[in-house]
Amino acid sequence: MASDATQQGQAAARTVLRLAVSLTCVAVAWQALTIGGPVFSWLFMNADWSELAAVRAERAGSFALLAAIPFLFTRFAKPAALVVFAWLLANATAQALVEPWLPALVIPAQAARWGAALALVFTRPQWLLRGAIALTFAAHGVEALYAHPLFVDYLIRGFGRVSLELGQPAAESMLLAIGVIDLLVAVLILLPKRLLPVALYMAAWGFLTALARMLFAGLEAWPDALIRVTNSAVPLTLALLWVRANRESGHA
Amino acid sequence: MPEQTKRAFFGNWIVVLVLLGAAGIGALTVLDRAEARDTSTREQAGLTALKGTVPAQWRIVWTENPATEAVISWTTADKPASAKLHYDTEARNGELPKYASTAAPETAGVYTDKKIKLHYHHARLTGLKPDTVYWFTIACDAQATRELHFRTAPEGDVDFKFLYGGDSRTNRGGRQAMNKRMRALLESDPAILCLVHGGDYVTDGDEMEEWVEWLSDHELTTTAGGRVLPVVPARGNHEAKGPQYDEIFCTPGDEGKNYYATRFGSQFLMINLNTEISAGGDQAVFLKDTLEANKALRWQCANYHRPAYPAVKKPGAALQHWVPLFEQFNLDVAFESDGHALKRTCAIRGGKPDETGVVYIGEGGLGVKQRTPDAERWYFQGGITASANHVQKVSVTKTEMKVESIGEDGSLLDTWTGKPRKRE
Ligand SMILES: [Fe+2]
Repeated sequence: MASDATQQGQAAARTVLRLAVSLTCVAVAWQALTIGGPVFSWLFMNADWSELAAVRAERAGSFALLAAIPFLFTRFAKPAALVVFAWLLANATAQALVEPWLPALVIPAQAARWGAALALVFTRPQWLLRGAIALTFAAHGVEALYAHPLFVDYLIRGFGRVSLELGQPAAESMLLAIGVIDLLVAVLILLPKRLLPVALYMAAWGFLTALARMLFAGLEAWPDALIRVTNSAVPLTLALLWVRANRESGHA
Repeated sequence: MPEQTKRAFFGNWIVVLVLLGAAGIGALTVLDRAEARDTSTREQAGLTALKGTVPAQWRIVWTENPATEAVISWTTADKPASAKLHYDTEARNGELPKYASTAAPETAGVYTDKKIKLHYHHARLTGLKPDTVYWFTIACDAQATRELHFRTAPEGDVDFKFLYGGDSRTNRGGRQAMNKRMRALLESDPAILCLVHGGDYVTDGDEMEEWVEWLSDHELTTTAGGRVLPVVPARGNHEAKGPQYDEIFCTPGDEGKNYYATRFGSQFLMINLNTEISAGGDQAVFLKDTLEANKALRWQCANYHRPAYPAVKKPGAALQHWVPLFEQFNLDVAFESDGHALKRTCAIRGGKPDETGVVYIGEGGLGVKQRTPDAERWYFQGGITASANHVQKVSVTKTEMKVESIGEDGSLLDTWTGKPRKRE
C-alpha cells in the first residue's frame, strides 16, 4: 500500500510539472509572438540576420512550443518535453548573450524553467528538480544582493500599494535579507535530507515573486508572471514527491 | 543514497551538462562569426588616429549649466607628460600662446578595460559667458588638435535648438551616416546647441574596443569649420553599470546615479534620467523635487533610455514611477530611446489619449538596425511610428516647441508642434 502512495505522489507531481511546463510554453510563445523574444533579438542584432528571418526563426520555435503542449499529456511526452527544453534553453542562452547586466546569471536564473521541461524526460527527476530550483534561487539571490533595480522598484511600489512609503535604502536592506534567504534555501534544498518546509517556502516565494510582476505592472503583465510559474511549480513538485515519500517512511 | 537514486541523479546531470555544453559551444561559434564580420567592416578613414600622445576623440559634455560650464574631454594612446586645453572667446588659429586661458585636466586616467590601454582627460571649464563662441585647442606634449569651437547655451529667454537621438550601437556604418547627418544639420543650422543622447552608445558598454569606435566616429559630428557638437548624455541598458560611461563622459550626475537636470536658457528644462537604476527610489524623489522647483518654467522635458510608451518592446519602470509625475507637473515631451524605431505618441494622460497629456518622442535611431514597430498600439492613434534611422531637431521659441524627425538622408519624417502650457 505504501508504494501506492509513492506512485500517487509521483503521478500528482508529474501532473503539476506538465501543467506548469504547458503554461510556461504559452507565456514564452505569447511574448515571442507579440513583442519578440531573446532569440529574435540575438539573431537580429548580434548575428546580423534580417528582421524577417529572425522573426521566422522565433515563430517556428514558438509554434513548436505550442504544438508540444498536448503531447506532454500523452505517451509522446518525452520527445515533446525535449523539444520544449531545447527551445527554453535556446531562449535562456540568447537572453544571456543579449543581456548587458550580469549575463552569467541568466541561464541559472531560468533553470527552473528549462529544468522543469527536462525533468519530464526522466522517470526519477527529483535531483534534477532540486538542482534546477537551487540554481534559480541562487541566481535571484545574487541579483538581490546586487540590489537589482527592478527588485528595488517592485518593493517600493508593492509597499506603496498598501500606502506604506518605502525609501530606497530600506528597500535595498530588504533585498540584502531576501538575497541571503534565497541563497540559504538554495543550499538547503540540495541536502540529502528532504526538507519539506524548505520546498514549501520556495513554492510560496516563487509564486509571490512571479505575481509581483503583475502587482507592479498590472494585469497586462500576465505573461511575465506566467513565464515564472515553474519557480513555484518545481518546489511544489518536490513537496508532493516528498510528502508522500515521508508519509510512506512514517508508516513503515 | 540508494544505488538506483544515485544512478538517476548522476544520469540526469550528465544529460544536462552535455546539452548545456552543446548549446554553449553552438552559441559561441555563431557569436564569434558575427564578431569577425563586424571587424572586417571597421573603417577609420578621415578620423584622427589614436597614436602616441596625439589628442584625439575630443568631445564636450554638458550637464547642469551649459550656459557657463562645459567639460572638454579627449583620449590619448600614451600618457602625455603635459596636457592642456587652451581657450578663448576669439579665434587664435591654434597659436597656443595667444589664447587668453588654459585649463589642465581636472581628472585623467586609464579607461577600464582588459585588452586596451588608453588614457582619458577631462578639462572642466567654469565661469564661461553664456551664448558665446569659445575657441579651443587641445595640446598634449608637442601635439595639438586643430582649432575647434563650440557655443555655450544662452541664459535668457531666447530661441534655441538642439538635437535628440539615441541608440548609436551595433551598426557602425549606420552610426557614421547619422553622425554625418548631424554634422550637416549643425552646418546648415548654427542655432543648434548640442545633442541630447538617450543612451545605448555601443553594444557592450564595458568593452573599450567598441567605445573607441564610438568615440572616433563622434568626430564625424564636428563641422568642417571645427564646430563641436556638445553631448548631454543619458545611460542606456547597454552601458549597464560599467565604469566606462563615467570615464568617457566625466560622470554626468553623481557616480552611481547619473541623473541630472540641464537648463537651456531661462525657460527650458531637460531632466536626464537613468533607467538602469531604481526608478521609484531616490531618483523619483529627485524627479519630483526638480519638477516642483521648476514648475513655473515654460518648457519641461525629460530624456531617458527605456520607454514608458514603447513602439517595440514592453514598458520600463518609467511607466509606473515617472509618468504620474510627468502628468502631475504637465511635462511637455518625454524623449525615449531603446526600441530601434521612430515614434511619436499621441498626448497621453492617465493611460488614455488626452490633449492635455504628455507626448513621447524618439525610440532610438542614431544608426542602430531599425525594427518594425507595432503601429497597432493605441497610443499611435494620432501619433506615428516607423522603421527608420532618425534624429530629432527640436526648435524652442517663446510661442512653440517644434520637434522635427529627420531621416538619415535628411528627409523630414515627422513634425510635432507644441504650444506653451498654462503654468503657475
Ligand atoms: Fe536599449
